[in-house]
Amino acid sequence: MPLPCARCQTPLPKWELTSGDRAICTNCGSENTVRVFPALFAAETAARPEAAAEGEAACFDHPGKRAVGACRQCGRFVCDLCAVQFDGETWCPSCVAAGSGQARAANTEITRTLYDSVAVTIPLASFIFWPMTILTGPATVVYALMKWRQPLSLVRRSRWRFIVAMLIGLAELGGWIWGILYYIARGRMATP
Amino acid sequence: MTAERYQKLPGRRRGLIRGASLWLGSGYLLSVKSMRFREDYKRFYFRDVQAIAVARAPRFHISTRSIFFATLWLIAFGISSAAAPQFRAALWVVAAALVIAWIVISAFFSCRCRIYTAVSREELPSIYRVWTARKFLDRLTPHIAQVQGAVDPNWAEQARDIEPGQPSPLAGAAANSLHSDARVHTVAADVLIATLFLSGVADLLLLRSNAALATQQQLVSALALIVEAVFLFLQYQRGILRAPMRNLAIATMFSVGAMYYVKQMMFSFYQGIQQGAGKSVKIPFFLSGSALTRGIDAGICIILGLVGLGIIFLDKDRRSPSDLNL
Repeated sequence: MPLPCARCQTPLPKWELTSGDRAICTNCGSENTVRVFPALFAAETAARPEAAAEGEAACFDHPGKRAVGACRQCGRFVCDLCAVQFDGETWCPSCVAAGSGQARAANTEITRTLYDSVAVTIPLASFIFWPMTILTGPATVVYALMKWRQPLSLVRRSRWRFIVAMLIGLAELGGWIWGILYYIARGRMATP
Repeated sequence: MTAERYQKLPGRRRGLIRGASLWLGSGYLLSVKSMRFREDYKRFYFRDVQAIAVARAPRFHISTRSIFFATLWLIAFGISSAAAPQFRAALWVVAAALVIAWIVISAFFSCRCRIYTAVSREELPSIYRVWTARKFLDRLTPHIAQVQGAVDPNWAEQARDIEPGQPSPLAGAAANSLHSDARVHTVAADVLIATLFLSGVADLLLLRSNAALATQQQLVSALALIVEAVFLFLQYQRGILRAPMRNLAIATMFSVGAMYYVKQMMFSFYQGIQQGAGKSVKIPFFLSGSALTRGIDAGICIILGLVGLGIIFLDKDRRSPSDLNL
C-alpha cells in the first residue's frame, strides 16, 4: 500500500522511504517523518466472508456466507463481515447500532454536548446586551443545577465551569437586586 | 461500567470556536474535536493504525493564547499614554518581535500530521508544530508497537511500487475534490493583498490627521476590502481559489467589522469625556477613529498583507499531481 504525503496526499516515493523514516514528497517538496506499523501490511490479507456450504450455519444478514459466531446479545449468527469484535466478545451490527443492553459497551460515544460550557457562556454572552442579565442570571443558576448530573466531556472531569457559571449568575442576580433596592431607597429619600 | 481515565498527549489546538486534542485510552488513541458546546470523538485503535506521517507545512493558526497576548499588549498600550515615550517604543518593539516570531514559527516550524488506517486518513489538527509532533510520536509509537509488534526494518521493500506523481487509490478522493484544480492566488487575491498594504500605509501616513481625507480613505479602504473579500468567497465557492486565501478574506472581513465596533466604542468613551468637559465632538472622529485605532488598523492590514504574501510564496503544495511529469 502506498503511503501518502501528510500535506498533499500524493504517494511518497519508495526510494525515499527506503532511506529511513524521512521522505521528501515529489509533489509538494515537504519533508515527511513517517512511522509505519505492521498493520500496513496485514491489511491486504484481510479475511473475507466465505460462502456457506449446504447444511452449514449461515449469517443472518448474508444467508450465502458462512457464520463464524453468534451475537452475544441476540444470538443471531454473524459472518466474518458482520461480526463486531469488542472486549473479547462477538456482537451483531444491529445490537451494536441499537446500543441497548450489554451491547451498549461496544457502542462507543462519538459526541457529547458540553453543558458546563453552555452554562458558563450564557451569563457572559448576555453582557453584550446587559439588560438581558436580569433573565440570564437566574436562568444560568437553574440551568447549571439542572445539568449538574449530566455527563461532561469524556476527557474533562471537573465541574468548575458549572460553579463559575452559578457564581456569575448569582452575581448578576445580586447586582439587579442591589440596583433595584438602591433606586427604591433613593426614591424614598428624594420624596419629602 | 466505570468511566475510563485518559492520559493527555502532547499538542492542543485552541481556537476561538474550534479546538482539538489527543488522549491516550486503553488500547486506542482518542481524538477530540470540540466546537465550543460540543465535542466529537474519534477512536483509533492501536491494532488498526497503519502509519503516522508528519509533513512540514506552514500553519498560520491564531490560537486563544496569541489572542490573550494581543489583548495584554493592547491593554498595556492603552494604559501607557501617561508613561514615558520609551515605554511605548518598547511596546512597539515587543509587538513587532511577537509578530515576527509568530510568522517565522508558523511558516518554518509547523507541520501537518495524519494517522492512516485501512479505511481512513485522518488529520490530527492538534499537532501543528514540529516539536509537538516529535513529542507526540515518541509518546504514541511504543503503545502501538506493544500491540502490533515491531515492523520489518525493510518494510519499504514490501510496499507496492509507486509511480512518481501518480496518486494512490486513497489519494483519489483528495485529487478529485472540488478544489483540486484551484489556485493558491488569483488576480482578485493579489488585489486584496495590495489593498491591505495600501490601506495600512495610508493609515500610517494619515495617523494624526483629522482632515476629511482621512475619513474618506478609511471608508474607501473598508468598502474595497469588503468587496474584494466577497469576490474571493465567490471564487472559492466556484472552485477557482483555495482555502488559505478564502481564510485571509474571512480574517479581513472580521478585522474590518471588529475595527468598526472598536471605533464606535472609542468614540463613545471620547464623547463621554468631551461632554463631561463641556465640549462637542466632531463626527469625522467617529468615522476615521483616533490615532490609536488608526495605528491598530494599519498594523492589522499590514500583518494580513504579509500573511497573504506568505500564502502565495510558501504554500507551494497545491500543484496538481498531473503537473508532475517525472
